[in-house]
Amino acid sequence: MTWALLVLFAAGSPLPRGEGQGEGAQPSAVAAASDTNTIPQNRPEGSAATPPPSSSTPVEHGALNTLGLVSSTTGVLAVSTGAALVAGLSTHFAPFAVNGRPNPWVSNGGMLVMLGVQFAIAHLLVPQIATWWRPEHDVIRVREKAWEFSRWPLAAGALGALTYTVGAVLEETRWGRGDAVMAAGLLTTVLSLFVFDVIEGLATLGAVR
Amino acid sequence: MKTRSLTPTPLTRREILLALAASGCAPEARETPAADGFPCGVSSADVTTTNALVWTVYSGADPLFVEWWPASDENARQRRAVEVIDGAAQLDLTNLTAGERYVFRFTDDTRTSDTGRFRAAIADDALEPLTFAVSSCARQTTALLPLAAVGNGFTLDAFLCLGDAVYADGAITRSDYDAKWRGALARAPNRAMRRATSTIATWDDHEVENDASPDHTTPERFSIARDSFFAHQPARIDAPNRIWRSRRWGRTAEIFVLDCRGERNSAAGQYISPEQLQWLKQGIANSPATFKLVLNSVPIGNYPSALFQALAKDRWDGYPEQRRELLEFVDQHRSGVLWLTGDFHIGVAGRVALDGVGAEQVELACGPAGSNLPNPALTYPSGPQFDYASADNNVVVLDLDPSNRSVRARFVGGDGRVLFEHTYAL
Repeated sequence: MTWALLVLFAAGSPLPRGEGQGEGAQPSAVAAASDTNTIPQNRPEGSAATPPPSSSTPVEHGALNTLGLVSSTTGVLAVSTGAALVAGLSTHFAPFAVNGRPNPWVSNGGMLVMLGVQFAIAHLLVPQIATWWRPEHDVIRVREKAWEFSRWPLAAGALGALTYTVGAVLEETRWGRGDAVMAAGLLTTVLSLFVFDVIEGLATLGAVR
Repeated sequence: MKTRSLTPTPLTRREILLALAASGCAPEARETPAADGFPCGVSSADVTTTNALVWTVYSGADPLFVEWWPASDENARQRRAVEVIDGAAQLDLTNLTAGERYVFRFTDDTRTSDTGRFRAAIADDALEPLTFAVSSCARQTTALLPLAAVGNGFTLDAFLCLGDAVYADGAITRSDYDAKWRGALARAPNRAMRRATSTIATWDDHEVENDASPDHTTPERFSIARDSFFAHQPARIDAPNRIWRSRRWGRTAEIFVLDCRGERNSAAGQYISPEQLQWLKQGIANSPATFKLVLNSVPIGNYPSALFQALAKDRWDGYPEQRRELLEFVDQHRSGVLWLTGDFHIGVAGRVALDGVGAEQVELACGPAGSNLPNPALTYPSGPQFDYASADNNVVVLDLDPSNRSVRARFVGGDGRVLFEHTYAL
């Protein structure tokens, strides 16, 4: 789903300026200036045909470059989500080896581990990789742009973990009293994980298009 | 200064088995093979004071015989020819002595099966301690180590099987079901348990399909699955196609075998048929036995948790009127009733309810004998209603002592270790 959304998003991004806008159409100097924060140094293969940017014309990227951008972004996001889920589930199941049953506090820790892994891989790597394909953009600004949006699902994930903690406290008082709250917290965190995934990707692509 | 060898320490067989079990991979290649010609070993079932059903699967074409003798006197060996139908052979041994332990085997005079053991039920007026093993949920693709540990390591009077002895999901035709059963019973842990003692078995959903119920499972499928069940879990039945029945073990125990799957009618609020409910109530009220063990494949206990309640439709909780009627009846006639159950993939020991109706009744969820994934609940049952809950694969060993009306329950894991032990006064 994430991949499909990113492809749609990339496909929906404007064609390189000057194409499809009628004969003689030219981008404004303001737009061009805002799109070129850095000068590309090592352009990846597949974008060799793209002319070097100038102060008056925006950077044009070939289809292979866009495909590479989307594929690598999606790939990193998939890896980060997978790693986050594996880390969270491994933490959750660790107590089973001791006494054959889950420990809500360990599971709660697993949720935080899950969020941390997702954040560390996705938020740190995705903007880096995007600017590798689009080196005219500054990675810090891309990361800031993505963070504008992706912080909200991350906050929702943390809220889910907090909700889970409340449920775990209720469970301590009596079995069955807090598991619905725990389930709501878990669901919120897991959904947030995927929403973070999508938004991080979309926001990054939006920042470098 | 200490030095460390860089040579890796070889893993022991036990470590490899445990690692494979933990990974969900059954170590089938390392299992002791069955005797040639008898791929599923041997089994005995539904013993009485005088009779025992013995069973095997035979892959040969020669005349087949059963030999049996008291364990204490091999010279008293008897032998009878047995007919093989669709590859399976079954015979009702007669003229046994109550309470005597017996040995039996099948032979075609060239090849001989595993040697099986059983104990004839104790005399109707006998009152003595008994030891039963109880379990459920033996997914045939898992290691099933607790079955081997208990079958090989304990002297048992009988094995009480609470269903899901085979995961026949996906089977449609009779040959599909038979193949699933024979694949499962050929597993060494199953053979170990079934040759160690006699079995008294009910079924649960996976003998038919996942969450099987007449509400959505066709009668044809139930019929085929039931035929295959009886062909592989021999039973002394009171009426055609009827799984529910009881077996007496003297004045110590009576075992009530319920059919919690095949007679449901959710539209009428019936978890079991009115006939079965009436039979159970009468049986409990009239039984002279100290302990009434009810083989109830899905828990009757109340699990007051939102996640467990979300699945209440599949158990007694989803049929509150019948459940209340039965529990109130047992409360009134309470005298040694012990609920034995499975299905949940958690071993549980505790009371049927925290308070109110059933609060003084004890239910043990026995097994799973082989589950590759633990129950996914976020928390497991705990006090004050429950004494124990764990997803560790297990077989429960019950020591019934009628002298003080106590039942010691030991949850035994795949390595033979006792995971939990508790004694209940009933």
